[in-house]
Order: sequence, then structure tokens, then C-alpha cells
Amino acid sequence: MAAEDSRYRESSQFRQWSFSPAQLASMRDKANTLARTSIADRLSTSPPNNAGTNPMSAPTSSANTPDPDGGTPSLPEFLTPAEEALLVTFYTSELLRAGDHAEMGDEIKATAATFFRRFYVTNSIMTYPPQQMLIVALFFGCKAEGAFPRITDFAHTFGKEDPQDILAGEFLLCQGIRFCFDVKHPFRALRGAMMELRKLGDIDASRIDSAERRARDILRFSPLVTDAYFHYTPSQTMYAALSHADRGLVERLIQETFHYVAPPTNSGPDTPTASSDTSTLAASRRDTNKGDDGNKAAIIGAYIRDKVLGTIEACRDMLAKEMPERREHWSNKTVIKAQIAPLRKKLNKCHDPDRWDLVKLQKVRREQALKKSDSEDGEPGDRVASSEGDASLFGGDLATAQRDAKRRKVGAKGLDDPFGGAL
Amino acid sequence: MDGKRHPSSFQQLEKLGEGTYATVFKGRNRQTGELVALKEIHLDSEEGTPSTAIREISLMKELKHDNIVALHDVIHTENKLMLVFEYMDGDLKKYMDTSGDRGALKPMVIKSFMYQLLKGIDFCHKNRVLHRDLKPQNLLINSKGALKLGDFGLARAFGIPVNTFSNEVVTLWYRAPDVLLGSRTYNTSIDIWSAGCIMAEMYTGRPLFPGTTNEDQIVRIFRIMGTPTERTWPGLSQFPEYKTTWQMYATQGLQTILPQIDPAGIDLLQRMLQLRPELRTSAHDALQHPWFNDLMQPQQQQHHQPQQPMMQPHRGYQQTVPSQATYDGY
Repeated sequence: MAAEDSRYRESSQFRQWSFSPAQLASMRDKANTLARTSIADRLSTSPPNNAGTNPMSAPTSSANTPDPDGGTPSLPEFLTPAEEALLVTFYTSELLRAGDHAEMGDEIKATAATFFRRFYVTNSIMTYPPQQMLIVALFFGCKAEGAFPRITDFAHTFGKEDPQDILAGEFLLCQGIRFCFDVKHPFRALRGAMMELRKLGDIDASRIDSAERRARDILRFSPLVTDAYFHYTPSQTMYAALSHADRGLVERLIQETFHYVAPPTNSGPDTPTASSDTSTLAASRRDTNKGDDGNKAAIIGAYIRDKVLGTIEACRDMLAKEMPERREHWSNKTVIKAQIAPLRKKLNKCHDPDRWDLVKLQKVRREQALKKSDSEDGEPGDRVASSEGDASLFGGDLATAQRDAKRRKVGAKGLDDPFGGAL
Repeated sequence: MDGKRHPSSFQQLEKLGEGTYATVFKGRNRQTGELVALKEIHLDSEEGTPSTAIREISLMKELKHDNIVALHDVIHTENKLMLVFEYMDGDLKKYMDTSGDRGALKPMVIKSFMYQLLKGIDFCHKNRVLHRDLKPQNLLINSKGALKLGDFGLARAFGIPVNTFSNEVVTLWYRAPDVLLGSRTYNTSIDIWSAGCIMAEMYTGRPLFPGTTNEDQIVRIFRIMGTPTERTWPGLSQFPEYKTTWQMYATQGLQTILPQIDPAGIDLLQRMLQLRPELRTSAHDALQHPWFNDLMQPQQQQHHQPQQPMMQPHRGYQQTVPSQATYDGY
């Protein structure tokens, strides 16, 4: 157990993709603010209607309120972080539906959903199109889980003619998820817990079976459309799901688990509450120094047990907001019309004019990169560089070049369709 | 890190190797001066990012261990993906060719390398990862005498990998007999077989089973390990590549063909080179073997003279397992 935990702490999921709610909220706020600023910037520098305005004067704060005077170009109303969050949840459920449609395995769908949500932690839904990114996430989810569908077949499944529609976003996704392709899911933990319960021998098999079915169903939806993966470990999530299915079984497992650490003794009071954390631990440590090992185990065991229970409860509450029955909610026409359609309409007007079309975006970036590598080929020395002169091998500053390319693209294209295609 | 850094952060030096999907260069971090290995992956595939790259990045992001080559960074441009690895001075193959006596290494060097190899394998296996392609070319060595597992690019999707580098012969030499016989349910034990082959090769400087074809590889193994039968290996006849026409070879004692290995070493080797996968020792158990009793702890090895790795005269003696004497009888 302990070894398994320490291994989890080494994982990229823990090291790079676990956040407190406050951290997560601030990252999303930041992504939202950045998107507003740059979209406002692009819209006001682009040709359509506003030749005379200073691009730098598009302040974020007023970006949300269309200018009533009409003197300056009216910026669209942007999505708020809360609205973005709602859309991300909606599109994650769409992703899962699409995965069902393609008959993908649970792990693939879960990995894809995690990729999708991770991507939109640091990228705004106003910058890159979620409807396309969810297909990209599914495609890359397959690959990351070791299934390698042919891109043409895959595209066909989702009614896409051109594989480029999917491939164009792949690199972008990889970048957004910081190249962390290994996602740890709670399914394995659930299988383990079920084995332990069956091993106990005194629990009705049908009870375990039905709890497993329900817990699995929850794991296939609830943690994926909420922030559970960002806050909880796979086993915590599993326990939370199982507690929705059959709370008694979780209590039993916890009892069995901590039985080893904390054999019931009359000397060890077993109820430091989850809230009285550090002081209790300190106290128990002091006791430990004096007392015997059994006492120590009892106190620390009880302390940890209550901490674990508190975490499971918190995760349970999070899952409760999106129980599997909510699948119907998110695909219900009335709900979509009332909640999602207005946001989509908004999104149609406020999305990034330069980045919304992934195929075009990739093309521009590729051309730019190729130009760079052409100049590399012209470089003498057969790549064996001995001096600083090889800076040009990698191109002086590709990022600048790409920015320039984008500017050129905006200028040249004249933004024939500044708001991109319809959603 | 993680794609934020730009390729120009690294000065590209000489080419270290060329492959079908990647080219490896030596590089230098312009800011820190640190040497790195830059693995450049070409992205012209019609299927998007190649599976090998995905597998390699995915695993290397998770496997952080002293005996596994570290992935520092992933850098990308629009048509190029670059993996930045810690720099190692060479691979075991090259090391044997240049530092060995006709390829053969000194016993204490071998012991240290084997310990580190098994440490790396054990870590992979604990993380449910099979390397599947262990061979001297994939074991990287630095001047401090450290050995690290490298090249995790061979994807699970391909089953047992074919060649990584187009200009290299596909090597079967380290492939476990059960895999050669067509098993699809192989497990961690396939890496142990490879480790055994590598151990023998470090003593002799020559591959233990240098087969040319799948069939030849099997025969070469049987010639030394003895031809198995349904009696010695229940279920043998169920393997796809099972042949009733195999010539029956008697088992040769490993100590006769490898007289340079001490009895404890032979005992360990014997445990790794079991034909039946379920009888092969695990990396975890192999690390407890008394053969390693007179080995210094890896941390202490860090202080070795770069020129003379592992040849320190005074070695710490660590008795955590039964002494060697009790093992001599095996």
C-alpha cells in the first residue's frame, strides 16, 4: 500500500496535474483573462471595421460590455470563467457520448476526457474549438492507451471526411497536456477493492456485484465530468464512487484496512476528528514516544483513518453533483436549449479569430517551420557544430517568426470569416 | 519544461545515432552548459504522432529512477518533436568494445552493472512496465560508472519489437525462449532472460546466443540449456513454434561454458536463464542474491574515479543476505 502510494506521488498525474480547488480556479481565471485580452486585441487590430483604434486600448474589464456609443468597434461579450466551466462540463459529457458511439473502452474514454479537461485548464474554450478538440482528445486517448486506430477509419466514425481535421489538433493537445500521456484511473482500484471484499467471505456476492456495477457506472461518468481527477487519487475516487453505491462496503474496507495499523486497544482513543488535524497528530506523536507500539498504531491509525474518511466524503460530494443519471441531463434538448445554446451563441461571437480553425492554424505554423528548416539545410558544417554559430540550426527565434506569420495571415486573409464557421 | 522550452535553448552537437523514426544528437544546454541527448522525432507520419514516440514519452514521464535514463524535457515545433534526455557517455556495447579485454569486463564492473541493470528492471516491473528490448546497445553508461536503461520507444502495440534502427540487424539474441516459441502471454520474466544474456556477454565479450533467425536462435539456446520436452516443460507442445523435429541436446552446465564466472554468479545466471518463464527469478529476488554481497552501495559508487569505474580496491561489505558460502553448493 505504502509503496503504491509513493509510486503515485512520482506520477505525472500527481506531480503536474493535481491542484487544490483554489489553484485550479486561478489557472482557469488566468486562461480566461488571457483569452479575452488576446482576442480583444486581435479583433480590434483586424481589418473589418476598426481602422483607427489603438489595439492596446482594448481593456479587459470593458471587454464584456459592448460599447453602446458605437464609436469604437464593439467587442463581443466574452464568456466568464463560470460559463466556460459549464461548457467544459457539457463538452466532456459530449466526449463520453461520442466515445460510447465509437464503442471505445472505459479506459480510453476516461483518458480522453482527462486530456480534454486538462487541456482547458490552461487554454480557454474561446481560443480553441471544444467540439473539435473533443474528437482530437478521443483520438489521442486511443493512442495513449495503446490502441492505434487508422486515422481515416477514426475520422469516418465521427463523420469527418478529412483526417486533417483531427490531426491538426493533435500536437496542440499534446502541448496543452504538457506531454503527460499516462493517466491513472480508479478502475483498477475498484477491481482490487472488489477482490478484497470477496475474499472476506461473509458478504453476499450479489451485493458486491451490484455495488461494483453501480460504482463502475459512476466512475465512467462522474469523476470525468467533475474536477475529481485534479483533486483526488484514483483510490480515493474509487472509494467515493463505491460509497455512493454501497456505503457499508466502504466502511467495511476502511475498517479492514486500518485494522492492521490500529488493532483495537482500550488505551487508544479512536476519535480525533478529521478537522483537528495537526495538533492531534502532534499530540499522538508525543504519546507515541512514551507509549508502546500498539498505542502508536492505534492513534496514528485512527488519525489517518479519519483523514481518509474526510477525503472520501469530500470526493463523494463532488461526484454527487454529476451522477451518471446526469448523462440524460446533458443530452436533453430542453436543457441544451436553455443552458448551452445561449453560451454557444456567445462563443460564436467571441472566439479567437486566429486560432479557431485548427487546420489553417497548423498550416501556417508548418509553413513557417519549414521555411526555418530550409534555411537549416543551407547551413554548412553538416550539423556538426563547434561554435555558437549553429544557432541558426534551430532558427533564431521561431516563436517570433510564428507570431509574425500569424499577423501576416490576419492581414492577408483579411479575415473573410472573422468568427469562423458556425458551431 | 514540457514543451515550453525552445529548441534554440540547446546547442546541437554531433550526431549520436540515426533511426527510422528518430535521430539522436548530442546537445548542450546553452544556459547551464549541461550536456544532453536530443532525440529528434520526425512528424511526417500520416497518422500523426508516431506510436513509438507516444509510448516513449508516456513511460519516461513516469519512470524516474537512478537506473533509468531521465527525460528532462519535451520540445516541439510544428513539424519536429524533440526529447531531451540526460547525457550518457556511451552504451554498454561500446563500453565493452573500448574498455573491455576483447570485450570482456572485469568481474567487479560486471557485478555493479548487473546490480544497476536489475535495479532499473525492478523499478520498471514495479511500475507495470516491461522493457522488452534489453540489449547492450540500450543500456547507457556514464563516466561515473552508472548504468541506465534507455530506449523505451518500442511500443506495446507492436508486441515484441522489430529493429529500432534501420541500419542494424534485427537482434534476437536477448529474446526469451517463450517469446521465440510464439508466446503472447509473456510477462516480466522476458526482461530477466535478457539480463541473463547480457551478464554472460559481459564476461566473455561475445553474445551468448547469437542467432541469425528465429529458428536458429531457439536451437542455439537449446544447445546450451538443453532441449526441453513436454516432461521438463509442461505445455511446451502448445506453443505455436513448437517442433517435433528439434534435435535433442543435453543440458550443458553453465559453469563449463562460462568458467570465468564464480559459483555464486553462475547460480544467479542459472536462475535468470531458466527456459520456463515461471521458473525464472524476478528482478526483486535477483537483487537479494548473495552474489551481490560484496558490492558497494550505488551511492558510494558515485564517488568513484571517472577513469576507473567500479575498480575501487576497498569495497564496503554488506551482509544483508546469507553469506556466499551457504550458496556455493547450488
